[in-house]
Amino acid sequence: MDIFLQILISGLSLGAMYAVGTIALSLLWGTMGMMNLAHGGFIAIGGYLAYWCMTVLGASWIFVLPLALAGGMLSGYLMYHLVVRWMFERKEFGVDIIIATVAIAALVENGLLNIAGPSAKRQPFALSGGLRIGDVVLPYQTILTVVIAIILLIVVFYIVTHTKLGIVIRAISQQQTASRLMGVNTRSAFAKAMMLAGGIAAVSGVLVTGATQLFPSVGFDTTIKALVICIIAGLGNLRGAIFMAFVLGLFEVAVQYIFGQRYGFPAMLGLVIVVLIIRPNGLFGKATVDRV
Amino acid sequence: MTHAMQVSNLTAGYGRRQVLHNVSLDIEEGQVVGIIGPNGHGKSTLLKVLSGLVPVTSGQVFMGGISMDGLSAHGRVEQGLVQIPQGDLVFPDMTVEENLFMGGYLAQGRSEIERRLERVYDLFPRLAERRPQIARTLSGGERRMLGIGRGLMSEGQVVLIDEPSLGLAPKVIDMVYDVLAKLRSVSPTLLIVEENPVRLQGIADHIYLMDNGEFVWNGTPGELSRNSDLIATYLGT
Amino acid sequence: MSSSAKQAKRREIWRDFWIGLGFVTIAVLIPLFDPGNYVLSQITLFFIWAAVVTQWNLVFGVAGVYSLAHMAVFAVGGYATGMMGLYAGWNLWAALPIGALAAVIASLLIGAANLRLRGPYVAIMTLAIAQVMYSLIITDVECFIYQGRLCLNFTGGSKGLIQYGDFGFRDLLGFKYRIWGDYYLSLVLLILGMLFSLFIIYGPLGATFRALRDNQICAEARGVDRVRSQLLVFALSGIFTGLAGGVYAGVQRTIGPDMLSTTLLLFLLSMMVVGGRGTKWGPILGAGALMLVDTTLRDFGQIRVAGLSLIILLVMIFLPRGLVGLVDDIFRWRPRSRWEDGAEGGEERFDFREYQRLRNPKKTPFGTARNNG
Repeated sequence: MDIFLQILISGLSLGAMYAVGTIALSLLWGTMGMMNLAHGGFIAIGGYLAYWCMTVLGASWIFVLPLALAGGMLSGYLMYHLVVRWMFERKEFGVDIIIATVAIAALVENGLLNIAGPSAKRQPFALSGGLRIGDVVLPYQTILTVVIAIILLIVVFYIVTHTKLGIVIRAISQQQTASRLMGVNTRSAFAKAMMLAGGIAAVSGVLVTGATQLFPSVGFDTTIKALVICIIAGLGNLRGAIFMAFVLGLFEVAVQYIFGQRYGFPAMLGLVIVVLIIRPNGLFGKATVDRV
Repeated sequence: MTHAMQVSNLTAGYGRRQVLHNVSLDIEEGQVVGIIGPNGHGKSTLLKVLSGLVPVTSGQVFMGGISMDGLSAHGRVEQGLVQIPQGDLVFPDMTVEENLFMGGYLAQGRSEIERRLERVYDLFPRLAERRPQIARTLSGGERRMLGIGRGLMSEGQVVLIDEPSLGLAPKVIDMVYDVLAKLRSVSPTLLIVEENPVRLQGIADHIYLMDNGEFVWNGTPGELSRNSDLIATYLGT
Repeated sequence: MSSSAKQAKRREIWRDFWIGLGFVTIAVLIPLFDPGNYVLSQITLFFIWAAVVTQWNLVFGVAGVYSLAHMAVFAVGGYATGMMGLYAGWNLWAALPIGALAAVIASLLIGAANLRLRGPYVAIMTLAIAQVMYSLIITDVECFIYQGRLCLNFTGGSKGLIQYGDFGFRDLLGFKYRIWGDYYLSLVLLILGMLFSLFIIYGPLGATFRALRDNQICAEARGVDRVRSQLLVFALSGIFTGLAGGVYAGVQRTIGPDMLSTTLLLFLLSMMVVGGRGTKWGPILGAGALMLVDTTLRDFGQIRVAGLSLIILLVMIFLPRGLVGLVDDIFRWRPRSRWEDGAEGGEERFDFREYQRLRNPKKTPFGTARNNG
């Protein structure tokens, strides 16, 4: 029973992290048809900003999340204007942007490696200790992660369903030509979507690194897993992706407990491949026509 | 009379393939102009060029004396030039009301949007009934009305309509054209593209005939119906 | 095919023949000028990487299946060759075909896992597969055999495999000329791999792959069997990739999980991108260019990866068709680019990106300026 509870708790907190990652990724896929492999770079930027904020600047923890948010948004803005907008016009944008974002991820990783060094650091923005429930300890960091993840989810859902930016984002993802004919400035909408995605990713980076450790390539694994989750849910389906994030988080943790740490991701990927062979558009996706 | 829109010597196309050759067009304010011609001869391309979706190779477009050169599609909407695209380019996963809201995207203020919504609902009572319905579940005719209603939400001075009758049952086409006739009294200058001139007879002031990317004839609907040679040559009826 | 098209094709084949002959002549002669062991070993590496990229290009560029697991196929070839040497005690020459076979099987499996996915999805899934393989290897700590008191993992774990022998050039040619053996072996590998890829590109298979890449629905409607074609291109590209893996294992005398690292993936990806994906000579041109850059950057080891990333980004932005595209533009051979093929859809197949590109022709100066004529 205790093991079951332990798996449940770890699985949920892992799932919460994946969920946050999938939001940012689905957002960009839905609006721009862009698979953002540089997502991990945003995560690392958020983590290091938090670290520098508290250790180098010695600032209070209150500033950490706003700083990460601002840093992530700035990164998203720069990425759009320095790279994405020049390629968006192309027919092969879908694959070009994957290559480009892999390069951006490597660039960020290498930059952080040179600035901060390769050694893993402890994220100061983290809670120690935990809540005892019977024999199981529920770490405060897990609670914090889940709470902030839920807040992020709510904020994004609010933005997408209730704000002008949200309705524009949905409009573009559904019918780009019509959106332009309604007077939507798609470029500025894309820049905003990337800022939003960057901000979310950086904030999630603070949480991810609080649970693990801080090193330059910290975001890469999460990115790949979150993308895989997006694909299995049916890309662009936000609700499905969040649901699958929790399901696969639980699955991964369960496999790790039963068969050993190293088999978690392989088992999850195997499951995903089997599901995709049966349902190539994902579990909740609908068949779509190529954008190109 | 003032010119609502002037097009002079327009040449445009896709890549190396030129679709439009030296097209010139004059629309006066409050006029309804029809463009007819066989399919695949550049009518839709002309509208896309006017609305800024397809770039101009050479030539100029003026609206109310203002040059549209270099303006992006959304910039042209801001200037009051609205295109209602061909087919069902509604936002499929949004409700009817959200679709209309997107149409009034550039409108400022809640009350202004409400006013425009009321106007569209007056024109299309059917849409008012379907307010909360997801657009994808509408019938073809309803979707066309939604498309037109959405275009009217931006209250542009010049509205370009691409084949409003395409793929609809005759009865629904009648309804659509009833609304377009009503529009004459409310709004503005219309440019309607159709494959067949029959529908335009009662509504258009002036008709242009496009063939192979060029205007080969223009005149009033009455002149067109008297010119049976022309109809036989280009429209095959 | 009309006679003029046939003639054009014949001209193109002759052109490729002369380019290839020139390249091979220079490559054969280089060691005679005794440029030193460092240069020779760098060129050897260039041959191997170029051979890998020519095969990857078949999948990624020609068939348009965006697999990022190609280095995993390469690693399987290398590992299988090394393992045959280490565990079965085979001579590496004999192990090479086993390595190729293993790579073909691995490639087929990867192709099969992605059969029903499209475009960018494939890129993510294959990247995930490669990443899983990497993590499984570096976390491999179980003892497979004992060498004395030393515990060896099946895959060699994070340290990789060593001491499985080499191609025996030292005994054959003597210590000094051992490197010549490696050099010419790799050159032969590249020549055969390149011929193989040219053979496919010019043949009916190449036409099939391109048809699927450019318009899948249309190709399938005309009776092209997509499943069979995709499995075929994965299997075919696996052959020389696996051999390259084996040759690499024999030349380096070690093979480890860094074959699956993102850095190396990025390195080879940039070769393909810089050269020009989907082109015939792009892989070799790109591999050469990147090896030059890499040798230069090696003195600035810290920023090597950053340099590579910047090169990829700049090429992606300014030269989307790569160096071959640039050369094409300069010499105006201009075989119709893939881009224009797609643009030929007529007015009803309007494409927003096309429009944007045309509207802002200066945005990618080298990539689009030519489209205005």
